[in-house]
This record gives sequence, C-alpha cells and structure tokens, in this order.
Amino acid sequence: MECVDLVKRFGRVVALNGLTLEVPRGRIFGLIGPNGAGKTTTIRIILGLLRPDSGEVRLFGEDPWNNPGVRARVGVLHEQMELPRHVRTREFLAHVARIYGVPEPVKKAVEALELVGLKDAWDRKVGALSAGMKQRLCIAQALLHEPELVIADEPLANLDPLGRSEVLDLIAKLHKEEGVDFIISSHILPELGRICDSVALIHQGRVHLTGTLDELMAQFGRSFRVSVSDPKALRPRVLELPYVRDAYISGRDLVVEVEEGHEDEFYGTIRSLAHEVGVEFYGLESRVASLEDLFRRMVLGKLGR
Amino acid sequence: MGKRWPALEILAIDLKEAYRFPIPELMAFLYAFFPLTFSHMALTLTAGLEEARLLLIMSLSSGLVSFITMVLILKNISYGLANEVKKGLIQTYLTYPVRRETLFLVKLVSGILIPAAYVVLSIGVFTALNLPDLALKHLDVLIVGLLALLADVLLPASLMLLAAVVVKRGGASLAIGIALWFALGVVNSMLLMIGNLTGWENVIHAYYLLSPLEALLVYYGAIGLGPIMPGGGKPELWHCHAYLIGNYAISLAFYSLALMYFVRRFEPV
Repeated sequence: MECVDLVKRFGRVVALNGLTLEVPRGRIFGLIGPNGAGKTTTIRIILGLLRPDSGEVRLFGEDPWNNPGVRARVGVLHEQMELPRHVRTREFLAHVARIYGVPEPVKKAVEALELVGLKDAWDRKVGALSAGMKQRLCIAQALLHEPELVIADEPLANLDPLGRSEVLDLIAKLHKEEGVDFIISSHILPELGRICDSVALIHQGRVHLTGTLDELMAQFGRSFRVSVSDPKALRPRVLELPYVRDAYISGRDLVVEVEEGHEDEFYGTIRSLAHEVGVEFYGLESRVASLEDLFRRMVLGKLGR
Repeated sequence: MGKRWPALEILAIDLKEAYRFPIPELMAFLYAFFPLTFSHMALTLTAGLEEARLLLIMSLSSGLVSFITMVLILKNISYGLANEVKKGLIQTYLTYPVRRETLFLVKLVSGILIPAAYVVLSIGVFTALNLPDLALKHLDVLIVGLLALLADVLLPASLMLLAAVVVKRGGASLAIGIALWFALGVVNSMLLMIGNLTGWENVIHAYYLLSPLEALLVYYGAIGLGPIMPGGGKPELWHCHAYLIGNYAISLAFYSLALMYFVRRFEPV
C-alpha cells in the first residue's frame, strides 16, 4: 500500500496535508495519532471510499476507487461499522460470503461465527446484538473471505478487555499462520504495541514518524518513573538536566525520559536533586518506552528533539 | 472463489431491510383497497370512446395508488438511501467488491422500480378483474397509459434520488424530496393556467411534457380541461408519444446525473 503526498480537505478543514506512507507486505502496521490527525481519512482513501484532492494512492499496485478487484483482496473493519439491522447474523454472513464468491457460503458463515465466538447467536438479528457482539460480527465479515490484507479502523472499540485480548490474539494468529497482513488504526496504544511490528505516527494530516517499533523505540533511550512526594516541584529541575528529553507527571509520579547512555548518571543524580528541591524521594522504576510515549511526544510537538 | 452475483446479494439484504413486515402487507392492502373502492364510480362511465373510458378509469383508480407509491419512494430514498449514507451502511457496502454502478442500480430497483412495479401490478389486477375485454381489446392504450402513469412517478422520483445522493442526509433528503414533489405540481399547475390563458405553444408543450397522461386523456377525449393545441385542435397521437418519450428522457437524464455523481464523486461521509 502506498500513499504519495495525499491532500484532502473537507470545506475549510484540511484533513490530510501531504501525507506520504508506504506499508510493505508482511506486516501488522499500526496507524497512531490523536483525534482528528487524519487516520480515518487515510484509511477511507486507501479503501476508495474518499477521493483525495491531490496525491495518489495505490493498493496492490492499483487505484482503489471503484475497484472491486482490489477490494476482493481486502477485509475491512470500520469504527462503529453499520450493518443491516433486520437480517440474522448467519444469513448476513452468508450474503457477504456470496458477494465475495466464497464457496459453501453458509458453512463459511458458521465457521466465521465460531471464530469470533458468536456461534450461539446465529439466528439473532444484527440489530439485536450488543455493541461487543456487533463488533465481533464485523470482524467475522472482514475475515470470512480469507483476505490478504485487513484494514481495521479502531477494531478494539466496543470490546471489553477479554474481548480485546481475544481479538489481538486472533490478529497475531492470522498474521503468523495465514500470512494475513493488517493495517490497524487504534487509540488503545498498549494493545496496539503488543501486536504491531511497524507503526506510522500521523498528526495534523501528515506522517511524522514511521518505522518498525524497535527503530522508533531506540530513539527514546530509557524512561524512569520517579516516585516522590511532590512531582510538580521536582519537574522543572529535572528538565534542566541536559540529558533529559522530557519529564511529565503521570498519576502521582514523574516520568522522565533520558537519552541513551545517561541512565547511570540519572540514577546517581535524581535522589540528591529531590533532596535539594525539598521533596521526599520514595523510589525509582526503570521502564521501556511505549507507543504512548511516542504518541505523547508527537502530540506535544517534541518529535525529533 | 465461486461465481459472484453481488448485486443480487445486496438487493436481497436491501429488500429485507426496506420491505420488512408489515410494509409489504400494508402496501398490498392499500394497492388493492383504493382501486377497488373507487372503481365503482369509474365503472359507471359509459360516455365516449372505449379508449377514453379505459384511460379515464385507469387514471381515476390509480390516483391514490400513485400517491402512496410516491410516499413509499420518498421513504425508500430518504431512509433507505440518504439515511444509510449517514449511518454508514452504504460505506459498508462500498467496502465489498461491488462496483458503484451496481450498488446504485440495487438502490434504484429496491427504492423506486419495485414501488413503480406495484403501480403496474395494481392497475393490471384492477383492469383484469373489472375490464378484461376492454383492456385486451385496447392493449396498446393500456400499455401507453401505464407508461404515462409511471412517468408521473418516475420523474419526481429521479429528482428525489439526485437530491438524496447529493445531500446524503435522511431528514434533509425527505424535506427536499417533498419540496421537489410539490414544486413539480406547482409548475404543472402554472403551465396549465398560463397555457389556458395565453395559448402559448411552448407552454402547452411543456405542460404535456410534464403530464403525458393528460395529453393522452385529451387526445382520446376523456377530458376537455387540458390546454388546447394551437390551431384549435387536440394533440395528435404522435404528439402524445413524443411527450411520453420526452418525459422519460428527462427522467433518464436525472437518473444518469445521479448515477454519474454516485460513481465519480460520491463520498459516503
């Protein structure tokens, strides 16, 4: 999948402002960014639902606009996807299977229902399903034709923690065993970080950072969770340290991002610094940088610092 | 992969959504009730040509049927298309391997052509029950009359469809649809009035173009209220056919515009 210099405006709002992105095959690729960053617009353009004002998009080497051949290779899961309400779940999936030309559509529909844990709801009308069940049905309709690529916009929305975990396991399994690629946009960053091998950080309609998770995390060095009696008082002094990239309050603690190679120096300094400021020092915990750190840094405009 | 008939699958889903209980049952009742209830008045008509009787009876018995059909079409377009765009169902369909033209055709069939077929069925059943000999004898008049009746439904429906595809909102589409329907009625009445007062040829042509059934009724002498053609004569039969073809051409142009917009520009957001 390749997007080159995409621009999309909705009236005066610029949703995409020269977005360029390439997703190679064989990945679980995450799109992350704050609300209004342009993730959903990007996905809709990739799917041929929207036309960019300028720029070019290629999916499997072809323009996706009104291109059934391309869409037959893709499974789609939208955020709050709307499905016909008065059709029964198995019947709906059988229709979808026939649309894709899947052999033995009813059998395939039953298998898809089993896969997402909705076997017992086969005769329930779609409109009578709970939000979580509906989300599972959406997942089933995205997977039942065994697509090469699944494009999912907020696939974990409406799912409880157990449901999320199951879906993530399913994604990982399909990727590993069936070779299905995924492009996933999500706000649930820790869980996205669990399965994605590459991400793109989108903000204000542009890709600010893209690469494998390892590459991106390497830019962060190490972060520490410092537990003190008054993190607000300590923060300005910590930020004065030349090797500190960022420091922010998270709950009752101060999270400090330290450049690689300065961890020992920070260890040696923080206790005395707390003493100087007059706050009580309770402890220090080292933590690995996460997608949330990346996200936070991007939103605060501190990328590349 | 097996053979694909995506249009039929989406049509099947769409029909289950748009014509679920009790809509078809209610429609069947209304479509049978009104023609049969009002028919006794029409059946007592004896004056004039047989063709005139047939057309007049068809016209009178179909009045409420056409009205109900327009309401059904309005509901289908506003809530079966525009509202589905707003809610996201059209977006879901567009993510399946279905061409936009196919999806448009499905919506056209379920939203407009099926209700239009109800009109044909209703009039067909009515004439078969009450006027079998007359209808068989003047089958050509029956068919042209039916086409003229349908023209009264298909032209406003084409405008409603175009509006719904562009505005993409159920409520707004409903309001615009009603406004367009009334506007067409008002334009028709104005043309009739101006035509009667002035006898201007172009106004008379425009009136008959929008009301081809009226032209047929005047031609066969079923009514004398229509504007009289220049030269004091009635419209010729070929005039009536030209009005009918012209009317369908206008409808077709609006349907084509809606299709082109849907295929080239339509964004389901």
